[in-house]
Amino acid sequence: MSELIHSRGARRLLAGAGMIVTAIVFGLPLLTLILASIAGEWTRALPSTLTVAHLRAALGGAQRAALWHSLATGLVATIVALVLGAWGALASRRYPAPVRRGIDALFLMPVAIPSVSIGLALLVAFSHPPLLLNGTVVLVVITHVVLITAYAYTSAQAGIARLPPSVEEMAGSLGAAPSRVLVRVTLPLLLPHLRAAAALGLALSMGELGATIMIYPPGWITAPVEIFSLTDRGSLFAGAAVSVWLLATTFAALRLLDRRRSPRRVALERRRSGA
Amino acid sequence: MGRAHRLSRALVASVPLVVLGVIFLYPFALLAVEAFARPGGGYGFGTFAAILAGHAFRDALFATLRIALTATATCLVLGSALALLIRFVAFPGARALGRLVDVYLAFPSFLVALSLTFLYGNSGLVRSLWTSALGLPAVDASRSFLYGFWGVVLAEVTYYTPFVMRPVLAALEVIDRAQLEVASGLGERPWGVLRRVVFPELVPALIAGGSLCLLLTMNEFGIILVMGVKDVITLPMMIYGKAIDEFDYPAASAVAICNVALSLGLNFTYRQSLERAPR
Amino acid sequence: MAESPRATSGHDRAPPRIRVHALSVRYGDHLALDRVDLSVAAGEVVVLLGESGSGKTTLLRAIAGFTEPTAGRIHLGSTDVTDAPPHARGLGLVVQNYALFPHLRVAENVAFGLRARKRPRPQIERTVARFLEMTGMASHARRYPHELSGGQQQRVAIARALAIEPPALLLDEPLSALDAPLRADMLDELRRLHAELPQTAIVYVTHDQTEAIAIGHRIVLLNAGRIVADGVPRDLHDTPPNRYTAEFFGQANLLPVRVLEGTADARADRNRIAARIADRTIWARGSADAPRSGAALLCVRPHDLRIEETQAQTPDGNHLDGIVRSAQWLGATQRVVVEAGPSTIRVDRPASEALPTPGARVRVSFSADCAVVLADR
Repeated sequence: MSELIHSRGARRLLAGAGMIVTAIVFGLPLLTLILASIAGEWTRALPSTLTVAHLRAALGGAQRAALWHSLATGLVATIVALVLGAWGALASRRYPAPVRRGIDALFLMPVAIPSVSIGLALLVAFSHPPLLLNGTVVLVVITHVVLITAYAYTSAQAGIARLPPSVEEMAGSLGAAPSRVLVRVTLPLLLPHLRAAAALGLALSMGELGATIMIYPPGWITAPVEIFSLTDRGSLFAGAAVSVWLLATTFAALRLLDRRRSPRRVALERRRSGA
Repeated sequence: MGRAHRLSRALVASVPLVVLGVIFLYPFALLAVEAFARPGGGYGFGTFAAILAGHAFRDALFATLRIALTATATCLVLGSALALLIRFVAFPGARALGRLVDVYLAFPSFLVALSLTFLYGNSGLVRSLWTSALGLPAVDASRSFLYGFWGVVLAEVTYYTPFVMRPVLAALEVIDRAQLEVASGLGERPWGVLRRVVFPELVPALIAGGSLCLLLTMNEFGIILVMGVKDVITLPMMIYGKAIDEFDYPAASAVAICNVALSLGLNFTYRQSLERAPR
Repeated sequence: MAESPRATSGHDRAPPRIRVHALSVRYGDHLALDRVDLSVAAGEVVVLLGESGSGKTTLLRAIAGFTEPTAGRIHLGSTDVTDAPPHARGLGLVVQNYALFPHLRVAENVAFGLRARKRPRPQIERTVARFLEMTGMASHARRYPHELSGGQQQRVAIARALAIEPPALLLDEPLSALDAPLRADMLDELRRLHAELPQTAIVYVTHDQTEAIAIGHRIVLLNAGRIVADGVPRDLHDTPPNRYTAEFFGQANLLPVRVLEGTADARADRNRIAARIADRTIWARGSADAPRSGAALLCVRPHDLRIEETQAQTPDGNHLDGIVRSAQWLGATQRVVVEAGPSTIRVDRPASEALPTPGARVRVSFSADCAVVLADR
């Protein structure tokens, strides 16, 4: 650690600076948000009373519905995006390189485009026949699928690149039909990558605001939209409470999906290293 | 393999492309139609001309670029400084910060705006501390800096700095410590080692992290919306305003087309720089 | 480098280039260096030899300034540098994996230390050219490190370290990443370079005894953080001061003996000691701190032993009787293993002699000049 800074005094000074900057830039905002969610009255520097009323209120009524809408949208959109992304990645490797580059570009493009523009495009397109989806939940899900499929696609591609060489041909030569190879060999080997993509996709979907705010129907307000409308109306503490629940839900979903050392993953890694 | 078999395989392979075409390409085609359609029928550049002639678009474009460039430059400085501190000075919290960087991508950006409101807003913690706890005279009643250019920059720096830190940390990880030792053995001072040995190794990571940061800050919307910034209108905010507040879909579509072209151009440059970067 | 430079340099009065006094380094509970003393004179090549974990690299890193000593002092010339940062010490450093700067061309790598010292450009160019020439890398000056072979990279690393014209050059396992034939070439090369820069002191860390013997004026053998032997290679080989040294250099036979009290003094002029082994008295040389009485070890190298008829007369009466356990032809030599009482003795003889039959009774003899009595440590 000390290969660059040999003076102990300078090391301590820099360590102090690092800590302070980290605390102010990254620690303080998060702490304040949590503090705001449990603040009863906050007219002075620090809240004079603490309460769980906001947090409890956020688990009922419109706010609970918003959290539920976000979770449901996230789950459905993630599953659709995974299927779409993995399917696309598996199919694209059969094409010659120039075509494949085109497919890559298509799948990755939504990441580079401002989410508001994606929302507007979907709103404009699906307000016209033949695909009249404006004002439906389906449009919300479609929007989120467009936004997160890229991550599923790149993860699946990374997994495909790391497939043990010729394992699929081997399965085929043993007499397995292509569909069987896919289900029994390829997909299980891709699973860890898809799992990570699912975690990321779910988190992104649950926090999505820019595109959703363009297309959400009145009956399907998601948590980020709810947080925005609460804070816009001046209900800052209620907004903070919903935010904390949104973060907690996202974090729990992440932990559930992206457990680094799930038994299956360990077994896969072992098999791959030949141990 | 028969012809029919190959055909069916091609059909199966094209399903995701067709779906993506319907839910992604088709909307953007219609967006273009909306932007180019003339009120009386037919197509033309009328909407674009009107948009480009007004001050609003140019102001929004400059605001977008100014915010994105300022935030990206700050992210580059802060991100590399923190990454260097994590690598060379073990400070309490350094490990946690290093790990936090990996999950940051997953959290929504607008929450930073909300947090900063509580911290630096009109009735935020810092202002209250200033007046009540320290007993200092109240800052003039005007709005906090938070609701302007610098507030947006601060929020974006907070959220996007990890996007620079991640590649820089990865690049620092692979620098051979023997190189640093040999350099100081040869008589180079720490600052010189940083400048002459470490920095050249970081350039590709800084380019990659900086371009990504620039792209994402140009596209940022949630932070500005939630912060309630009134006098800073960026391109995404302008699109939102035209569509949601004014119901002027043709104008919104035209601005969106310009914004998308800008972002895709930037993204293309970013990909190119990634490919050209050594190793 | 057969001769010690001290005989030729005549700089006896000048302070040593490197002086380490009672240096200890502790990592948590582990004592990596335990009160080590070392002094390296101008022009001297000192090899720090030992197994991994012996403390040899820690000692080198402490001299270079990368490891903070827990106790003790380090002097370069007459300056105490114990608390000085590495960049203030001015020592040339060469490491195992070369650590060339990948973004700099060969010439820029060699110029690195000179630029850190803000030398004028013409001087930098002259010095770089000189050392590239000296290391045979002049034609590769414009290349990048990744375009060079391992041996070439090592030459550049050496040129880079020498370019700052350091009072001492520190080499940390410099050849261990090269394959055997290249290693021999590089050893020749290093000797030639040192002949061109006869005043440069060199500290050379290695775990390989052949490398150490080939290049060292002096070998410092370390074990478990302590110096167990310090001397001219030939002396350490012929008269090892202790068991560890005897075992490290070649596969010596080490036989437990009892030194006969008073004999060391009686024939002090010839430095001979009498010792009892089995029921015989044998004569041998005594190492510097051989015990004057009691338990000790007799060290005889396999190639210094002869196999004789059971009734043969032997010089000084130095012989042991035993039974041949095994005999194996090894090309140029044969290896005979003889069991003599509780001891197993390995004998190497020329292949031209008749191979003894296992089970045969033989007499193993040796000259008193080839046998050393040493302390059992």
